[in-house]
Amino acid sequence: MTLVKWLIVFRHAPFGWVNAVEAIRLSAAAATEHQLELLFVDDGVFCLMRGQAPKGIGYPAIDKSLRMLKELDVKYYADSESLVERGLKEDDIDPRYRIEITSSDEVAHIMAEKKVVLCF
Amino acid sequence: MSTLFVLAKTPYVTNDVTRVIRIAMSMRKKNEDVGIVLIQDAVLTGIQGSANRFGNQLADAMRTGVRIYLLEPDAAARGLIPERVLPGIEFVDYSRWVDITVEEYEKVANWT
Repeated sequence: MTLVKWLIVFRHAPFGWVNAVEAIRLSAAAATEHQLELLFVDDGVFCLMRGQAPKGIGYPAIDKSLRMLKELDVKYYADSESLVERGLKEDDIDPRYRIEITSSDEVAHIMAEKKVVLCF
Repeated sequence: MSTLFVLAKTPYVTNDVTRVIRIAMSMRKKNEDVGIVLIQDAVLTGIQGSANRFGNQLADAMRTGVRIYLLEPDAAARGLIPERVLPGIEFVDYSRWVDITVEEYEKVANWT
């Protein structure tokens, strides 16, 4: 099978919606078979916050999976505007994700060069 | 009669937050007691930072006497620590949420 470029887009905050957990499940599969990158935009940037502890509300954690994907060299892009308008600073983000902060123009370019774009 | 609103979504996916804040501030003009509980994703509205325009709306509301509460387990789940939250917002656990609902407000408007 030829390697195909995938982009999985996280658009929703974690835990209030199932989207983040579902996106991660698919990401884990896609990362092993194809060339995967992740984009965090709008409320999706909330998935990147450090120190998450969802055990107290009975939800599965997402940080372990997001760290595991980094070991497969998956790039994480975070939309600059989305971070700023939510009051999020670089300090709020888990440094282990090694996110690349991107402008809207860069997001467009990242998306355009992919064969598969899936939005959650 | 006093009112306690409950919000559960971020202000970026719905206009609930803006709408409820507006209603709450109108109530304050009539000297009514009003509170807002932020639960689930709505806790993220409380992030401190001038670029967070919805946080600024919450701050405006608090200045008029609207009381804002934030559910601690939902904040902890999302990595939102007290230091990053607007001053003046009260962290509550489930038990305290029950208390304020029963003892401090006459009705609940569940805007979720």
